[in-house]
Amino acid sequence: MNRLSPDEENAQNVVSGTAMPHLRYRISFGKDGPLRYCSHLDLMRVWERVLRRAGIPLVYSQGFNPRPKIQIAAGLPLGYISTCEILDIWMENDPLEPGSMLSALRLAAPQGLTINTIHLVALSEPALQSLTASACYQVTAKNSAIEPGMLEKRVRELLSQEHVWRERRGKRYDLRSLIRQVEIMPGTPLMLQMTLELSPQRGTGRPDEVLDALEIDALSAVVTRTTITFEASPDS
Amino acid sequence: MHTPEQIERALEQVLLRVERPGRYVGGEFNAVSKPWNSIQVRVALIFPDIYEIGMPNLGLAIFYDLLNRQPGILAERVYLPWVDMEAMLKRDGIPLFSLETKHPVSDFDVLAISIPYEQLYTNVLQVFDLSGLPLRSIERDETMPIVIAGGHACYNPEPLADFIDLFVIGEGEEAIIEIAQVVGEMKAANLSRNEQLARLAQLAGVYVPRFYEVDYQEDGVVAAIKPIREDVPFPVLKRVVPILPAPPTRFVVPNIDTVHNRAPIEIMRGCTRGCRFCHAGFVARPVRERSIDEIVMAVEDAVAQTGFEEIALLSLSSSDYTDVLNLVRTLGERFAGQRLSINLPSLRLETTSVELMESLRNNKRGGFTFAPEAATERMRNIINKSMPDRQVLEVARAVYSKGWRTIKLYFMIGHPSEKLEDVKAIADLSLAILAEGRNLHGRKATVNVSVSTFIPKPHTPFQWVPMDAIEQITAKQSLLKRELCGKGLRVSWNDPDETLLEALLSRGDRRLGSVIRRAWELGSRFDAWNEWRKHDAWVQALSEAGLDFHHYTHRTRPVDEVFPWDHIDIAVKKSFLAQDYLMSRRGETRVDCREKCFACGILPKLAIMRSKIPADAWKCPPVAPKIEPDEVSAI
Ligand code: SF4
Repeated sequence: MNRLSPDEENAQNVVSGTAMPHLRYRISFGKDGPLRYCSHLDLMRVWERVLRRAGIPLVYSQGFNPRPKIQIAAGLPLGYISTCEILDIWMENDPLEPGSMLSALRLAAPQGLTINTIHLVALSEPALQSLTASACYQVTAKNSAIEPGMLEKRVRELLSQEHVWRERRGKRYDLRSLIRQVEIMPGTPLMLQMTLELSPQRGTGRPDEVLDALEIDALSAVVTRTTITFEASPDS
Repeated sequence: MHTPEQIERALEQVLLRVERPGRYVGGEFNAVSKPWNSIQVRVALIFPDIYEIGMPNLGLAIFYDLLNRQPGILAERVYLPWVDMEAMLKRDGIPLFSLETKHPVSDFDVLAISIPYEQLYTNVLQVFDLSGLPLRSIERDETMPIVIAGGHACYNPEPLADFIDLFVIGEGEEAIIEIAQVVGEMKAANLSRNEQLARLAQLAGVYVPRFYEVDYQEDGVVAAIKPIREDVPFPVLKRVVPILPAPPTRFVVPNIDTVHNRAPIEIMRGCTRGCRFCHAGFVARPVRERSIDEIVMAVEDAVAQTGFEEIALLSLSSSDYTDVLNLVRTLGERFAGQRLSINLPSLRLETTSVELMESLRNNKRGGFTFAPEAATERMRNIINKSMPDRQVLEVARAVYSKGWRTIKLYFMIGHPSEKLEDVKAIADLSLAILAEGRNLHGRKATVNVSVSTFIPKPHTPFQWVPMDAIEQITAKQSLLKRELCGKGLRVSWNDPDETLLEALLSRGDRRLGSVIRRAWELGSRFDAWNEWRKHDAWVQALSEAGLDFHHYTHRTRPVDEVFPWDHIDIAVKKSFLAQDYLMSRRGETRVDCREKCFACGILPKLAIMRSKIPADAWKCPPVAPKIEPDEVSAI
């Protein structure tokens, strides 16, 4: 991605002497229903159109192919549900209160896009993707034939190992180092809760890889991302 | 029988196992789901190709909007699954379903299939098969949906006559509502399928193939086409809307990428240029324009309703829109700074086009597109697309100097009168244009040359002309490939087999029904996709039916030959087309008929309609209003 860092962009504002300073808003949203089957790239397009329908004038990049300035904290793989995605948008000016922005966004959202909250953030905040630390996922393994006892054993084994070497897209990596926690929830159908790394430094753990390691069919499981946790910032 | 709930559940099991599952789930912004049980007439709008191809289709978007505005009617969308999904549907016994409410296609009252081009014919059979419906019209009874079809390919409905219950010839905006209403009225009436169709055949522009019969001469040429009932029209005059209705603006906004991600606004219908190869130029007459106010309002509304980043102003020839400069200036000013890209395709190769595009203030990344079609004066006269040679380079220079780096050129090869030197001229012209670009942008300048192959389309002055010999086409393409290689040049062309199939299907008669069916049985579908077209299957299917390509594609026809589509009346007279054909053989041209009416047939055929609308509603000259008999008695 060819985006300016917030500082560069602030500098640019000063240089171009924009009458109204740009504003940066953070939106928390959920992705479900038909949007579950939409890829991360397609979701960016969906968002651009939601924002245009809501009448929110975005800031665009410079150059031969200007793109609107929006950032999503962490791409959600196609097929996953989420209740906690995070999006930053940069606006040209401020015609709307966050409250009316919220209702405009809700009106403009397609089925499956739930807008939770919107609030102003400092332009100087680092890029969203650099802020994340970990994410929680809830997994419902619908057609799983494994009995809870068996699963418990597998989870225990997985967590007891120091390294779990796997290969993804031809690259060898240690899955264990990306798992913070895996827990079995009581009840049927089978439910798991896991906390995985989501970090530009340490890497990103994928729930389907964990499921695969536990010999659960990832394609018939319903995976919901429920929390994205930010790195504790030194000044807060 | 499947319920929508069963289909939803079954889908959930397969969606993550197929490519791009977003194709199959619906739920897009502006999609309309009406309460199924309280609606009387349910119409499935079907585009017989995958979602990404079908979604941007303007015709279906118009019908979706019009039908869903009617209180007693609902319309839902259906597209074909891609082959991976098709395998899943078959494996799990899931029938083809609508995107809105996931009802099986066979639960609808009417299936309305859009068929803009002939390569979709095998896909139409695929729709029936995946819906669990018999393929042939006469095998489907009154418990099954009525199948109607329309779109540009249906101006020759004969190849699909076995499979479709009813064709709408011409423009469908009014006809589709009338059909849905009649279907609604007949619901309680317990009529046989034949009786239902006989009643629908009374509507203007409706053609029910089972009520007509075709005789052939010994050599396979059509001897005569006759109606077998007294109460059906003969010939079947195409449907025309006298004044274009307000354009749709609440387009369904896809959640996934499609072939065109934009809101299309039709600014004008019909074309009076008279390019002799152009099917649309003859079937879509008369020319009707929308006003600048109506267009600007539609664009505003479409942007607000859809959030699309791109608007396409559609017509067959934008430069011919009466006040085009004023239109683009108004739009350019109105949407300045809104990051909207407004597309104006089909511009003539002239310097004013550069000015037009400048006024729209788009970014210049997309390049500039022109369709000179031919590169020599001689060929341009034959096809009736005249333009002085020196003008071309002048325009290219203007385009590059205003900051565009890419020029896209559309040419057509394969008219039988075309010589290799005419083709060489295409290469020379493209290279000269590139040289202009190089002067201004150095190595960043590019020219994309897209070379299609001539097909003698029905209802055009060239319907008597044979297709070029395949060896000739190949030789002409090789010449271009040889001459047009190097940096900054990109050339694309059609595979000769593809052209041959399109020519066969577009010129076909009813006997092709069994050929299409056989080719489909042999695995043909997605014939518009190069990697899926099975040429051998078509060769085999033809030979099993005792037919061959040559009869349909490569004969020179006597001027008095009866064509399989002669009972379909496009309101342009066959004698006019014949006269134009003979003019082309003498290298004679006609000017745009806005300058001088050539009496093509539109006015006498549609005289009553013309007399009732304002003089400036059509670009054809006005007709004096005649006093009609019932008005006389009123006096
Ligand atoms: S009636 Fe005359 S003006 Fe109208 S389309 Fe035909 S030739 Fe052109």
